[in-house]
Amino acid sequence: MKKILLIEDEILIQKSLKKLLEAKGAVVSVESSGKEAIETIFQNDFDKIICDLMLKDITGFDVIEESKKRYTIEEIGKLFVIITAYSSQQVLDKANGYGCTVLSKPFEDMKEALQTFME
Amino acid sequence: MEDKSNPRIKKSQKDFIEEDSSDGPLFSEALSISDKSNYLELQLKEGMIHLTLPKKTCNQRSIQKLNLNNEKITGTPELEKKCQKIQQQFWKGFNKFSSSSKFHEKSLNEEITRKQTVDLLHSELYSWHTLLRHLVSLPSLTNFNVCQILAHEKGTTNVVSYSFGSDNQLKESKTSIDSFNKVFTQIKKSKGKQFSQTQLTIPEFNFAGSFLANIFQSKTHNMLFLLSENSFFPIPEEIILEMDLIYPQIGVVLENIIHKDLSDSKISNLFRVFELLPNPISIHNHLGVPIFQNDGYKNSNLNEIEPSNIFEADLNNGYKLVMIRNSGLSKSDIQHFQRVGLLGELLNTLQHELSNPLFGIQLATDFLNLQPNDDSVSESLMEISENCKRCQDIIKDFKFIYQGGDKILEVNLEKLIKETLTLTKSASRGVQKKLFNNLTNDLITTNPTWLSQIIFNLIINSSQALQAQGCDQDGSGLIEISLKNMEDGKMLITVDDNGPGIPEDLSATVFDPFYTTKEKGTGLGLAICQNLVQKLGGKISYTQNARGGASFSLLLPRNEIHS
Repeated sequence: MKKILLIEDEILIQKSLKKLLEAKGAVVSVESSGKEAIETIFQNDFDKIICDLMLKDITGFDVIEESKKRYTIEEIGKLFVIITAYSSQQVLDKANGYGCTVLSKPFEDMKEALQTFME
Repeated sequence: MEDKSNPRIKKSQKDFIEEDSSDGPLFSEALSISDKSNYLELQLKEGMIHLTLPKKTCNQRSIQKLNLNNEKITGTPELEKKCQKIQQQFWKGFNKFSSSSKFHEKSLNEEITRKQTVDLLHSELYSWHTLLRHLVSLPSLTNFNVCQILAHEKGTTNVVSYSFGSDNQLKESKTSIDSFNKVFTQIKKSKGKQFSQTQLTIPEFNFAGSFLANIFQSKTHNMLFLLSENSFFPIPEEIILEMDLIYPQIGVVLENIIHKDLSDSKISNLFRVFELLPNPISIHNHLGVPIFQNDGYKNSNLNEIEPSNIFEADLNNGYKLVMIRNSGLSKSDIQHFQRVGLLGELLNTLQHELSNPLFGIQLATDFLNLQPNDDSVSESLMEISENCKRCQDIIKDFKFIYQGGDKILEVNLEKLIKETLTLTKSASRGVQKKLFNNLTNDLITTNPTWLSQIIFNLIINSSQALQAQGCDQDGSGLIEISLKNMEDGKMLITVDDNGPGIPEDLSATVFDPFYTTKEKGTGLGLAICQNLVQKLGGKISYTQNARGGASFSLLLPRNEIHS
């Protein structure tokens, strides 16, 4: 059973994506705040962390940067999936630097997106 | 001809050139010459010398050179000083020479008339071409029809050869520094300055036999001077004497030419930089006449520029620089870009604020679709999902049209027009729109933001004209957009309507800024269109169509953009 942390501040997206992932059989924890998400990451083990980039308090990249204190860079690349409505080249380059997958919102292909989260 | 065998003349002539001028000027004013019937009266002012010479016994060459020094030379202070020194040397030498018994030897007949010709050395010889042509046309150098100067700019490998030959053409070519240096040293060391081709191999030298050669050195250049009769006979002694007198003059003229070349090149480099600057720039001389204007300035409508954006600075010698800030954007440009900028910001905000909830709705719908539903619920969910997708597409299209106002992309013209039509939907409510695409290839390299803005403005314009006539109520209003291939790879976009058209007396001013027939119009719509079409390298024109409605034609290149 996959343990997934979903960091997303848009409540409708958070709730709906949680339900869709649970329907796929995952156990999903949710966080709206980046800072609280960091605490959760340090206290729990997850198979996948889905992280929005533009959070209300800090950015998704700040969350990843803090997570480096717990995980190696290789682990971070496999653990994090970034979801964003602003998939500029700059964002893609930075995400590639961490080895993370980036998915643009809205997802082009919902099935493929869910598959990426469940890997 | 004078007696070339007389060694004393040669010595005396040399003397008055080489004489030291440390005593200061002997004559500050020039000599005046009166041509009397049998004699010439030569009078030097300040009473230093007064000669009455019988015509038949005057040394013609000396008098010629005397006249030659009779003009004040204008140029750089350094050059003027140098010329003044030569003149002083001449007068001092002349004084000495003229008092000797060997002065009165030859007739002065015709020499006076040569004065003007010789004076040209200082007043008009401002280029390599005029100097060389002048030298070969001097009566005393009648048989010499080939003259060449090689100039090496110190510190560079640039050696340029200027030659003027019997074909009366100036030839300019580049040559190697190595062969130049070799020949320069040989001539510098030589005393006689007379050579034949077996002794020296001159680069770019295209004539035969013996020739005279001399060197000139300035701060910036080393130069070789060559003169040939194009024959194998030795150079006559009198010509060598003649040239000894002329060389100092040539040196002065060469410095003048180099100075002018350098300043021309500096100015042309400066103008080139001005040409490349985005700001419109104009330089006026002391009379207010423009001596330079870059394209930006020529294309600016000065009446449209805010006075606060015009920067003026006084340069030397009464010259003035006028520069327009803000890349010379006109009021309509500024207002347009402000509007586009504001619209872009609004769209970004809208995109951000709408994207997320729409995505949430889409995810929620996807989740509900996973649940077992009856048909009517499934149908409703499908409608929600489809409409959600439509909203997301509209946001995406807006983003495409307003992304980076200055981007040039390859776009599908039909797609771009259809997207623009979507944007005009609410403002053109009740008006029918038809698109006729006769293009063989829909792709165009252009600025999609600008092109979309142009078409948007034209459609809104037509729609408002039709709505004012009530055509939106009865459904009779029609806008036809047609796309057509033209010659030279251009394409034509026409926007026609069946409205009232524009009155004939106003049709010439439709593109003027602030021209409007509408109560609430800004009068900028068509001015913006014209401005943007020009930036896209195209043309826009207005005609009245067969139905009496307005017809705007856009002729656009497919690939060339003048942004």
